[in-house]
Amino acid sequence: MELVTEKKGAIFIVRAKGRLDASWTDFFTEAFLEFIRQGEHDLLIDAEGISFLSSAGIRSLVRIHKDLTKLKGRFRIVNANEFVVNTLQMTGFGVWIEKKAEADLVAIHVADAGGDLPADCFLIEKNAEMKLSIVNHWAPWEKADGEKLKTIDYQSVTFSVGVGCPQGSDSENQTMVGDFMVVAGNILFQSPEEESRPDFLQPLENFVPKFRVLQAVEAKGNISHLIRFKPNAETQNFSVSALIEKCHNLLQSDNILFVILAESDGMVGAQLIQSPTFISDSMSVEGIGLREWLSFTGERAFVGDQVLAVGVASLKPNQPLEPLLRQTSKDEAWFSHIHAAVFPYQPIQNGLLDLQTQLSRFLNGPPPKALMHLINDQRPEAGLGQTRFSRGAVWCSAIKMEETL
Amino acid sequence: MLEIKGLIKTFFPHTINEVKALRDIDLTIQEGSFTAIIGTNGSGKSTLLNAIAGTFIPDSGSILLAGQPITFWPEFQRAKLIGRVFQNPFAGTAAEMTIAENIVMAMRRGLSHPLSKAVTSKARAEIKERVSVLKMGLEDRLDNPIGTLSGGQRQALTLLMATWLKPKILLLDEHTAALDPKSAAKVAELTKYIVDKEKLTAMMVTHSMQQAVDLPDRIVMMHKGKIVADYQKEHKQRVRIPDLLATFDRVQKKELFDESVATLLREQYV
Amino acid sequence: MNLVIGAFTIGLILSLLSLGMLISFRMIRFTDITVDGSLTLGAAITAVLIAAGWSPLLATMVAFVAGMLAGSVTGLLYTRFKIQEILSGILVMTALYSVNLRIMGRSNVPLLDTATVSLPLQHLLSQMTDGERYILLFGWQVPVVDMAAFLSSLLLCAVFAWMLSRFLQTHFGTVLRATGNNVQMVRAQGINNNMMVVFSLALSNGLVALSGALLAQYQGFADVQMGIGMMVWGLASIIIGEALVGKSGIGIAIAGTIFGTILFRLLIAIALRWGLNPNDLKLVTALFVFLALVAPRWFKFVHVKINKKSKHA
Repeated sequence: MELVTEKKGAIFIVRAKGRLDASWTDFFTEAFLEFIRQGEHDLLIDAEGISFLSSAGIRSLVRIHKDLTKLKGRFRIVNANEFVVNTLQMTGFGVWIEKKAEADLVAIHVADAGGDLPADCFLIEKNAEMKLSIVNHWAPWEKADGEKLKTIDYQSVTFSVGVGCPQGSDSENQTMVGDFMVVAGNILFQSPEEESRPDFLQPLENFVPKFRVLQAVEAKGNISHLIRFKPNAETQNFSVSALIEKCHNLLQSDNILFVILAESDGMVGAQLIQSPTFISDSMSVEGIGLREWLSFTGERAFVGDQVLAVGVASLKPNQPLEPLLRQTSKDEAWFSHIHAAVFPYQPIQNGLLDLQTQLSRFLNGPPPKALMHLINDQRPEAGLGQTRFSRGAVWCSAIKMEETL
Repeated sequence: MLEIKGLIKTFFPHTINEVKALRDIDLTIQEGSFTAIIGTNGSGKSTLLNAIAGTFIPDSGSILLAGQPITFWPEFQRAKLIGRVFQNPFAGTAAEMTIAENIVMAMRRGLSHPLSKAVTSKARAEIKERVSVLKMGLEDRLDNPIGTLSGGQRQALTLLMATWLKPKILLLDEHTAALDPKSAAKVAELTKYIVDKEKLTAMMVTHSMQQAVDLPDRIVMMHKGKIVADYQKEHKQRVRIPDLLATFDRVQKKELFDESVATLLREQYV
Repeated sequence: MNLVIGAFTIGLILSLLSLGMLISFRMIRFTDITVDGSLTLGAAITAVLIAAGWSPLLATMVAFVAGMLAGSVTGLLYTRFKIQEILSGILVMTALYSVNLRIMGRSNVPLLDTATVSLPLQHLLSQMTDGERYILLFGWQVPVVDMAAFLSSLLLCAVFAWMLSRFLQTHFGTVLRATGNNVQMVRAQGINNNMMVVFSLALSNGLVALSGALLAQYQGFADVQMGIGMMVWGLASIIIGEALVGKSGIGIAIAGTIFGTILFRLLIAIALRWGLNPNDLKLVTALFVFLALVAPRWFKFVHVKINKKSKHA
């Protein structure tokens, strides 16, 4: 048994050669436990050279898997031969086998695709892309009774922004429809009641969060790139549209799904404070009366807090996406729909960052302070402009538009 | 116990300094409840308390206390029904008079003050007994002028005096705000003790959200002369400081929400 | 000795003025200028009534009531019509000048050979001394009239001081004192503070008028000018009293005021004896009160400065 290691981005690759049987398992186990102890929690086992796998070998792999799970790490097996694949699948450990090619799994630092922003770009998964769908449609401020709500299951590949409520008893739904966002299957929402706090539903074990949706744009798929940005002498902060433009340069796509995890340099947004299901036939939301339905930040809010935002952006939105997007900033060509959750500040590390790891860290930490729909405040003079960030990360993927949308 | 309806008060009307201190306040206080009133400076919370106490006569509206229409009663007449503790620890006692003399007046709050000896030995014994509850050693200093005591001690005595004869309602106007933290805690504790023991109906204006969350049964939040939030019963149980701050925030945001914002959000919010 | 007895007698009579002012200036802290007018009012009423043949005692009592009325008017101007306290006093004092002239009909009413409140005592003393016009006191010949005046002043003063002291320790008196100490607190105890102010000013000016009534009888005349500067005299007396015995406790304050008045009177008598121009008397009194008001603060200031210096060193 021979082990050769290689670090690529966050992933630690172990190329094993020889028989993984009773005589080698102690060596194999100890070697892996040492890698884990050294801080390698995302392991990729290149099993091309493993010619035999015995039950003792599987027991060793289980042991390693257990240790990694405790640390929220993972290992995957690539390039396994037919015998090893069969053995693992028959014994019920087929999930460990990764079918994608190694090169597609390993994030690589990619050349800056242009633009003058101080940012580092990483390729996370080659050719990963998203599929877009409009789950349900409601245009403010038309009447929206409870029957229009659609129940949706959220898988870990889903990203979404919209208006809806958690699934509860039906009478409650009437009062609970508010802004929500979905990041990799995690639903963050805020009920529009006066005293409610932002809340979330996290997919755990066998629990698949369900949500009742009045309006939502949804993208399903994997993240392809990561951008890390921080201020320098020329650039003090990063507007939402600048970050979208950066994604565009990197992805070469006119339609983008992005997730931002960054320190806020002033949020501008609005939030439902009354469930739209209360809009009745007799009542129309007019003029200043809007303030009974929406709350506006009114200033550049939450400076210094950590923000998790998810959004869809398009250069040329067409039906039916068009009604759900708005100009991102006054002077730029992007249209977008972005929801953001504000968390108390927690530092995030430099370099390559795993979205799932960060999500579970933030969702298990101090609760979010606010959830809002980002607004581009382009009022003359009084306008606050768009939301800006000072440093952080953007995960993005190209959206593949289907004609049948 | 207390019923306030449509209370309006404008100070300095028709001048540049016009202040709409109370704008149509409706509030009902249940017997035996302890209500905290919070709000920003100038929100009208102290004005509301003063309106009940009768410091001024409202422009319109009515106040019913223990079944009595007290809206137009002068302040001193209402004292029969109301016990008060002020923010200023010097406001509730006469500094140059002794502890005993001060308390003797409180023993006849709202009653006649006859031409008989005030500090009798019988009164003195009663005073000694009740003052010792404060555990401040003041029972041995009954003939000292109250001005020689600390702010905390004076405020504790004021509280005792305000509740000596059980008032229909006890009004506490930021009564711990001017004290040092230790005395403030002591007076707050004493307040809870007395209110619980005597089963008093009380209203407390406070700046301290912690105090509002910790002490009373109900929290009323005021802003610009209006009641903007009212937490009672189970709502009061779950309310924490961040919730109060969030509510303040919402109220202020609603205020900034003008026509231009409405137009903006009509275009931008989807 | 006659001079001393005289000074004592006037001192005792003016003690009632000082006690009245003790109520207004010290108890309810009301700068009441009515005093100058109500003193003359008491004197004028007594003089006119005695001249008209009224019993001196009755005349004195009427003077007391009239003084109370004058005080009430000041109090009502202040509480009901919200006129500043000094202005309220000035208005009533000014009005009283004309009222006093009206009562007397002219600027001066002499009381020659008429009865006074000390008459019963004078008779008693005469009987005890078998009709002698003089009695011997510590080897001095003192006229019985003067002695009677002295003793009756002493008696009256003692009675009023005792009554006042008792009164101030009743429930009502306690409230009265608190009114000057902390109005807000008094209102919170359900007391009509305005009523207390009116009553206190009435009582105060009643005593002042009583003092005026006795003064007229002792001097043998009432003059429309006699009240001028009396307020400052009373204030000077109170300040001296406080300097003598302090102000802790009601009995002490009252006793101090009486001692202060007598002492002040003696000082004036001595000063006059030494050749002080009577015309300068009011200037000197004013200067004295000024010094008495400023000195404590000045002393404090010096004290602090010295402390600071010693600390720096």
